[in-house]
Order: sequence, then structure tokens, then C-alpha cells
Amino acid sequence: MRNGKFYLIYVILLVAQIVLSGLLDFTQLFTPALLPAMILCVPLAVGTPVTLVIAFVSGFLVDFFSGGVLGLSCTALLPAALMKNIFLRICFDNDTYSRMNDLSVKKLGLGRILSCAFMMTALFMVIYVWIDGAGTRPFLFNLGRFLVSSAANVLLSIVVVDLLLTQNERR
Amino acid sequence: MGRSGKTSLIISAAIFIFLEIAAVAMLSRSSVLQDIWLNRLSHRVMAATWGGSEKVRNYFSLEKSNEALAQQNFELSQKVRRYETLLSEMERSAALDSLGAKDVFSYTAARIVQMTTNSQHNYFVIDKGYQDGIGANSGVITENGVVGIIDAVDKHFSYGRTFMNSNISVSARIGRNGIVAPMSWDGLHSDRAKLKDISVHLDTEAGDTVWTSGMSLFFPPDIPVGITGKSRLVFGSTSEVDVTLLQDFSALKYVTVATNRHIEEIKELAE
Repeated sequence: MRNGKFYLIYVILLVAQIVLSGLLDFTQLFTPALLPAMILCVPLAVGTPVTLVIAFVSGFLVDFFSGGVLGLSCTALLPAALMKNIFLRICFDNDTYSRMNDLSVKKLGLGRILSCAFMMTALFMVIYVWIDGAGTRPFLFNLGRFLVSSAANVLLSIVVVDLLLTQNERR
Repeated sequence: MGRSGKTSLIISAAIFIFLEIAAVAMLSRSSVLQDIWLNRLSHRVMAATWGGSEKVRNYFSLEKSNEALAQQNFELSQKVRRYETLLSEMERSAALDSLGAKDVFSYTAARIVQMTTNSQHNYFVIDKGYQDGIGANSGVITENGVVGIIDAVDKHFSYGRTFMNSNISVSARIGRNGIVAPMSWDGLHSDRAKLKDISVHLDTEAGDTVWTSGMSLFFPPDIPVGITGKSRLVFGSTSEVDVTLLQDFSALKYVTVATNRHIEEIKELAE
């Protein structure tokens, strides 16, 4: 039942990402990206292969429905999904990681989970900005876009983590 | 990492690669800009990969290349040595041809393989024999003078007496058109000779060049052989002149054998 609610919230956030990607075009420097944090919150029990499939489908739906470049979000999100466990190992010690059944804000603390979300978002943004620029934009612009987007998306990640982990835990 | 962990890692990697390829394929089909960029990127990666693999292959084949280069270097050095020898022989022959005696004499370049300079009867051996057209009574010369006369000839080698022999005499001339007199070794020095039997009424000056006279069956004319020095009266009837030879016998290596084509004919006529 908890998983059902999780995936319902996940779909709602996916729709939110589609809406944000399609409508939020007031500046080229900021690219809203909820997907990395959403993938981070996917239960660990699901396993990496399924997480990769979820990431691919999520990225595809966002690109398709938001009218963006098809495959752009998928290409950037898949490496972040693959690196999820490695980032978790970096942010948490080995003992905690080995005993970790699932991500829990209450048990692990919001700060560490957000730092992990930042790593995933940063990796996603590096690839996204690089591919989206396709060698046509200056390096400084790409750097600015990466920094602004990463910082802003970490703030969005708080909302995502709160919705997918904290709210779910309360129920 | 357990066996199941490794299997899971391999499966994850395979799924990741498959999905990433699918994503990149979608990307390249949906946008011209990204398509061009990806093409350019793939070309760069391919070029770097090929360049890298070529560098690695080259590195591992360096030893073989070095061996081949060393062998080539050796062969080239041999060739250069052969050409240098040939060139010096040609230059010597050309110098002698320019003397204008090529109608009477034929010339063969040779190398001295053995030579003595420390006795009263010195000899030499050269690396050319009758197979090379050398005959007995041929003269041996250099561009700096007279070396000796061939006495015996074998198939590949010839034996002769050097000018540093008390019983060898060469017909020489002081100056281009001066006094002709027999010249022989002084018996003491490797670079000294004497012009003998000069009539007392003929004056000579020190510093004149001494040339072969051409009045000899063995040596072509006009080869510079030495420089005149002091003259002295001998027994009140003739005078003799000291000559400093131009040819240093101690540093002799390459010579030219001058064979008189008409020597037999002239000998028969003389008899």
C-alpha cells in the first residue's frame, strides 16, 4: 500500500516535471530537474536494473510530453540512476549502507539525503547541459547554467524528498 | 563482492548500456543539431581510439623497427664506403687521364695490402692481379708521384718493388721543359731522392718541381714527383740534385697501376 502511494506521488511529480519543463522557459540558465531526486527516492529493494528502466521511461515521458528533444533527459538521467548506489556509499558509511533497507529521512537525516540528491542532480545537469548545448554554446554559459540549475534543483529536491519519503513515512 | 553481486552488476551494466544506446539513438533522430554534434563526437572518439591503438602498436614494434633500421644503416654505410672508394679511384683515374697519356697507358685502381719501408729493398703487394688486367713491368703511381714497378703478377694480387729500392731509377724532368735525368731513392729517407748524372754545365735551381719525363716504359709523363733542393758536384764530372718527394710512402693506401699498352712492341723494337 505504501508503495502504491509512493508511485502515485511519483507520477504526480512526473507530471509536475513535464509541466515545469514545458512552461518554465523564462530563462535559459535554469532547467528544472526533479527527476534525479525522484530516482534517488525509488526504493532500494527495486534494484538497479529496474531503477534504470524507471529512469529511462520517466525521462522519455518528460521529453515526449514537454516537447523537448526526445532522449535528452533519458541520456542524462540513466548515468545518474546507475551511480545512485555509489553516491549513497559516498554519503553514508559502509555500515549504514549495508544495513540500509530503504531511504528514510527520519533514520538517515535530511542533510545526507540532500547531499546525495545534489550529487545525482549535478551529474544529471552536467550531461544535460553538455548535450543540450551540442558544442554551440560558450563554456561560460554552460558553466553558469550548470551552477544555477544545480543550486535551484537542490531546493526543488527538498520538496521531492519530502513528498516521496517524509510524507510516505508519516502514513 | 559475492557471485550474485557480480551477476547483478553485469546485468545492471548491460541494461544501462542498452538503454543509453536507445536514448542516444532517440536523441540523434529527434534533433538535427544533436545529430550533427553526436556524429562529430563519434568521429573524434574514433580518431582518438585509432590514433591511440596505432601509437600502442607502434610502441611495441619499436624493437623490430630499430633492428631493421640498424641493418639498413649497416648496409647504407657499406654502400657509402664502396662509393667513396669508387669515387676516389675515379678521381685518381680522371687526374691521370687529364695528363694526356691515356692512349699509351691503361689505368687500374688498386689498394696496397702489404708494404715495407724499412729496408734497402722495399716491396709492396696490391689487391689486383692478372684477372684485373695487370701485367709485369707495369708502373705504380699516385697523383703525388711514383710508387714502384710490378715484378710478379698472380690471379688476384701483384708484387712489386717500391721506389725505395736502391736498384730502381725513374726518368725525371726538372720543370715542364727542363733537364731530364734519372732519379733514384737516396737510400736513407722515405721522402728523399736524388737526380743523378746531370752535366756540370747545366744549372738547376732549388724549389723547381720534378716531373716524370715520359721517357720510360713504365710511367706516364708529367706526374709531379718532388721538389728540387741543393745540388752538388760528384767526382768532378757530373752533379746531382736533392729531391724532396711529394708522396709520403708511410701513408700510402690507394694507388693506380699504369700499364703501357705497347710495352711488348717497344721492347721487340729495342731488341
